[in-house]
Amino acid sequence: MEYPYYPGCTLKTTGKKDEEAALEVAKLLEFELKELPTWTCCGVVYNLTSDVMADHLSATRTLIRAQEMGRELKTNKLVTLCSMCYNVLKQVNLMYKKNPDKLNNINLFMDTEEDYLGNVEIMHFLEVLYKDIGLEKIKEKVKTPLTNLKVDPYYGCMLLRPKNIAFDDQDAPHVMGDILSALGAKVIENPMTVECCGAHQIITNKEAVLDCVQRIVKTSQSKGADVIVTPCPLCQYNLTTGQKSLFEKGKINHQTPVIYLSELLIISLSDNNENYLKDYKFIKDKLEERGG
Amino acid sequence: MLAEKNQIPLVSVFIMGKEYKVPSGLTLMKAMEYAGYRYTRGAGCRAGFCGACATIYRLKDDYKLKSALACQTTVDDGMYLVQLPFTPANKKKYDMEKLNIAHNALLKEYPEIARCISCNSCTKVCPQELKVMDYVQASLRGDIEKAAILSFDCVQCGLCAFRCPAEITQYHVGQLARRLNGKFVAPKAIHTEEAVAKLNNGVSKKEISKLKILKLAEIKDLYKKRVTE
Repeated sequence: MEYPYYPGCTLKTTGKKDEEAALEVAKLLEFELKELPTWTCCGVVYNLTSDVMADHLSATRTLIRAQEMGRELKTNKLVTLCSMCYNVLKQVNLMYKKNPDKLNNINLFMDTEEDYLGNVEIMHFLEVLYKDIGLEKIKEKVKTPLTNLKVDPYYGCMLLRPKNIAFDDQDAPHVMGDILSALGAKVIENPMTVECCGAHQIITNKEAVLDCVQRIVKTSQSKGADVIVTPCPLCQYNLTTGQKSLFEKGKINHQTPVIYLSELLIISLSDNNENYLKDYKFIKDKLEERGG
Repeated sequence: MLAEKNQIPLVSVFIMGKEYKVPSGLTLMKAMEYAGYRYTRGAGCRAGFCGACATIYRLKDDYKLKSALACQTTVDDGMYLVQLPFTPANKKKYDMEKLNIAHNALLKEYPEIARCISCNSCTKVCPQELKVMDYVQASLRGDIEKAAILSFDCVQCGLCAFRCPAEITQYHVGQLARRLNGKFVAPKAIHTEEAVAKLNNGVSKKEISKLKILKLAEIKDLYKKRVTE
């Protein structure tokens, strides 16, 4: 199966590791993510002002690119890796489904593009793994079970809020935990899993982000997590840099590594995981120490 | 008039709102000269390479404002036009020796690229038919090579900056991308370095000193007899 794939800017810059790992995971699970030949920024934030259409242009162009590639690949799906892109693209798409007149307006404005017909289905990578590939297949493909590795799956907000874009239970999401269990990991239940990491406040109000990170990480540590995994590049960035600051300020005793779910998948599914185990020696140590 | 004698049909053009009859088939630039304007600025190569003659025009009964290089487009009956000889856009001063190709290298010099809403106005206005929006987007995500390749044929006319609702100066961003690409990404032109080194070592010194003492007629004669590939 081939999926049209939209990386988004972050996956090409600060989130490169996630993309590299996810593309490899797809191969291991026998599907392919085909990057759209041209794409623009997703728009970063979904504008809630109902009459400002210009801010939806970016996302709409990407939906049209997906529509074009979808014809070729015979699918209406578009896969994202970044939670923020997922959120924006899906909200814009739903807005058009609800308001065909707005879709018509934007199509009239974009007179150099083919019309967007409103049929693309936005899926996050995690959703593809869970719904299209399935836990059974993932279980079958496990090469290195993550036995006794205590993993805290951290969702953040962008995959789950608002309710109409969520593909998992909004208050008690389980998809990531189910996948981690399939890999043999011990899943930590962190009540802060759907709390915000502080998101773009990192640019203007770092203290606000540190507050968020402290609450999330302290709970995770009290539950004994070896590692926090997240599907979101911004969460990964905030939780990692936030912990560094908190540690320097003496507000936390140690820093819990925060890695992408895709990286943990590689460690478990690939024969060729030495590079990852070299980077994340603590995982190797834990697996050996606990007889994994 | 010459054109009337030769029976070339005349068309009406409105230059800054005033009507002139000019022979059909003229370029916008020649039409302006025919109408009596004299270029002291805003005309350079007259061959579509320099970008000095950015022009905004509108066709009869059309609501769209279009753009072109005055030396590359011919007049149409009922055309309204004005030329924009210069774009007073901000151009950052930077020291190439101090720059790098980190993913935010272009964003640092031109942070306004983050305001791009992908409206595509820049692409639509570009007389070189470049994918301007795409190279701005490539710049935004630090793909310097792609930004350099997509903006390669830019003639720096500045029309994109006029149209941009996000106040980006696309053509300067593209220029920086090309400079960074040339310095850090593209393969080095080793043959040029070797040729320069040879010159510095005096490889052509003898021939040049011979030429220096020749008379003009002798040089002309030599030129005519030169061997070309």
